[in-house]
Amino acid sequence: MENKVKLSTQDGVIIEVDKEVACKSHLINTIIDDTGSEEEIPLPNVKSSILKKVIQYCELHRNDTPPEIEKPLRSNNLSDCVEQKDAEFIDIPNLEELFDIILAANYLDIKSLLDLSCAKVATYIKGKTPEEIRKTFNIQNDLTQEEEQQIREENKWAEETS
Amino acid sequence: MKQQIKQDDSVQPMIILQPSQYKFMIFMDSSLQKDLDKLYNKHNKQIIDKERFEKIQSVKDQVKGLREIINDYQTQQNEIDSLKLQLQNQIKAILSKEQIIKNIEDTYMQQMEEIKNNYEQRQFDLVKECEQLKLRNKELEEINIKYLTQNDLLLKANNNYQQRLNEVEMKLILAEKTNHVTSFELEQMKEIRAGALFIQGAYKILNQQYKESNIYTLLTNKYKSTILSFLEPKDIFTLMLTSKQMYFIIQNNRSLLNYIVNYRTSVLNKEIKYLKTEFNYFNDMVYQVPEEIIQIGIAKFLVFKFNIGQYMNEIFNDAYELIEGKFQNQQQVLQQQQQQQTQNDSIYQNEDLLGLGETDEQQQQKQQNSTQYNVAQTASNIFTKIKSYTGTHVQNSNKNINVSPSQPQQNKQIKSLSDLSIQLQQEYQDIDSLILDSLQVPFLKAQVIQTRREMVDLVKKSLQINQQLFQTGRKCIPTPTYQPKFTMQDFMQVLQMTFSKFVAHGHYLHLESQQLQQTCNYFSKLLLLQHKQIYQLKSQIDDQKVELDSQKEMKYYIQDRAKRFEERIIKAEEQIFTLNKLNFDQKSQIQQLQKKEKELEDLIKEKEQKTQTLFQAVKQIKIEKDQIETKLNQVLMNFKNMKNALSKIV
Repeated sequence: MENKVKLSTQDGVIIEVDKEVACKSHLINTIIDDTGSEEEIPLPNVKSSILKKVIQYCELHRNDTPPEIEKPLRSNNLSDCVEQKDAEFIDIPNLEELFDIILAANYLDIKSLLDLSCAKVATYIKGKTPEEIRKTFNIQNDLTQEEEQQIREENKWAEETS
Repeated sequence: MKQQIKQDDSVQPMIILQPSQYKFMIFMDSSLQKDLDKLYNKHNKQIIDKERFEKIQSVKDQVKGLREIINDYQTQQNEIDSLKLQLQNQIKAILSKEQIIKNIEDTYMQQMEEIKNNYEQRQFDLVKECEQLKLRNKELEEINIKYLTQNDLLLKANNNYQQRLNEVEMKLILAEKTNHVTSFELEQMKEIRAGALFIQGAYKILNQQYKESNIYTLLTNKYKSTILSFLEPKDIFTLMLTSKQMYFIIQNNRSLLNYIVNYRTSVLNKEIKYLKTEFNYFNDMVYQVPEEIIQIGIAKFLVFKFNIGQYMNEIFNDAYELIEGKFQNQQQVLQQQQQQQTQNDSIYQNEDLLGLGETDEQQQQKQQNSTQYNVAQTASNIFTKIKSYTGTHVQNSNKNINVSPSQPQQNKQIKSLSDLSIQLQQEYQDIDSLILDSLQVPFLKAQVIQTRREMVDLVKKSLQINQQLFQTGRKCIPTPTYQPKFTMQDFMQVLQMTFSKFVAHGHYLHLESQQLQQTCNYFSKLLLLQHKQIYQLKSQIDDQKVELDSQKEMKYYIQDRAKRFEERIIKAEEQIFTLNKLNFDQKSQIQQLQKKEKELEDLIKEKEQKTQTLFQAVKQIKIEKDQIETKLNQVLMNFKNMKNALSKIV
């Protein structure tokens, strides 16, 4: 049992994980260092479904450290920028779940997962038109044509850099 | 035959006929009998009166006989009385029989009359009924005609409806076909709708949660920089254009702006790297170019930049000196010219010492490549050739000058001076254009620009010198009041020399320009190749863009088609609904028509039944009439027989 850690989720589910896997999270690692691995570790900000996904990611990288993702992304196809297994892992059509993973990765302090999930969000923005982005993220357009033109004029230089 | 008339008050007078005449005996009325008796009495009295006398005797005679006869008569009378009684009894019996017959006759007559009346009444009724029936028949016929016309109309309408029904059915079939075709898609649409509804429902539930962790939350928290760091400024700018909130989130983020600036710097660095690699690539390409051409090109540039420039400067300096009055006399001028010539010669002869203008790279290259020397040698050969050419030209020019030292010739020379100046300018312009062409070669750019500037300066200087030369020349023309320090001849000789140098320089420049042109041509070929590659890349990019656009158009087209399809489905549903409604209406109309048709048929049947019953009634009446007629005939026959019998009896 020493190699196992009990994680208590927001919805009251207790998940037992290998210590090695759980310690991929700096938060859990710190808690274990402070209090030991016998007690349940409460994770009130993470739902069980999301925690399972996070554990899945940690299991994927049990024996390795994922490489840094290239910034900016060279393509909006994530499999061009990260390992295939990571790309497949993060290929979540549900934005809600993706956002939850970002929040969980941030809370649990797993930088590689945070980067991966943020990169996934970035792929939804990269190379898209404002209208497509609005549609993806359900953003209401409250800019008038004049305002939009003004912003374009102000930021012409940004377009030139690309 | 005797007729005896016996008056008896108790007995009614009567004509007593002989027994053979009984059958002709007529029963008379008593009055008539009386009248007859009276007449008879009168007649008898007359006869008696007449015959009284005649016959009294005879009567008396006869009274006796008569008495006898009377006795006989009396007996006979008694017999007659008895017979009379018998007769009377018989008559009574006959009368009673007659009465009976009369009664029978009366009853028959009554019956006859009754039958007749009944028959007549019946006939009248029948006629009436017949008339009524006729009227009814007419009415029925009219109704029938009406119904027939209505039926025709209804049939027409029915046909029309049938046609319309057929059309509608055809339409319905078509609609069904299209419906069948679209039904699948409709089902899909329905599924999509159902899915959409489900999603909508789910969306409402998830909306609250979503709001808590939407993109704004992500972009206003610390993950913002993480997300945005994966994006290029263009994408961040696009994100900025999505909404006001997003604009302010990004605009107010200093670190993000720094990121963009850093990104731009990195992009520029990358660009510089790229340019460096491009430069190296071109250098490599240049190394691949035949060495001779490169060396010629370099030599030409160096000569052009340094030697010729220097040479030009010297010429102009000389001209300045001349103009400034530092030139003392013709010998000095000649000496200086000779010195200059020797200097120039030394310059030309020392062209192999071109290393003066060579860059480090070229020197390194020179070290690396032993052929460099040969190139320089070739270049020096070219310059030697130029020199010899210039020399001959100068000699020719000198000859020309020596041959024509007079005033008009001086004017001509002045004129040729301006021509030469123009020619020189023209050449400069040509070189200018050449330089502009060579500007397209990246690694020559800086050098060319520098040279061009120098050239422009030189041209400007040459223009000034030309002007000053003209002024100085004017000063050399003697007037009655003015004796110039230098004669025109001196001036012209100096000018001659200067011009010869100019001419030489011009020719040199001409050659130079030709060679430059060749180099530029070579580089322009290279550039063309590069442009071709760029063009191919661009065309590929354009093709991809076009493909992308077409895909976008296709997407929009599909979306539009889906929308239109949905609209069509809705319309089709509406049409189906209206068609069903129409169909239902038409079916109800057809049912109504069928009902009416049935009613008509029933009416026709009823009418036929009535007609048949009428015919049967008429037949019955006829039969009855025939029966009555036969009965009447029988009665009449019976009556006749009875009458005959009676008459016989009577």
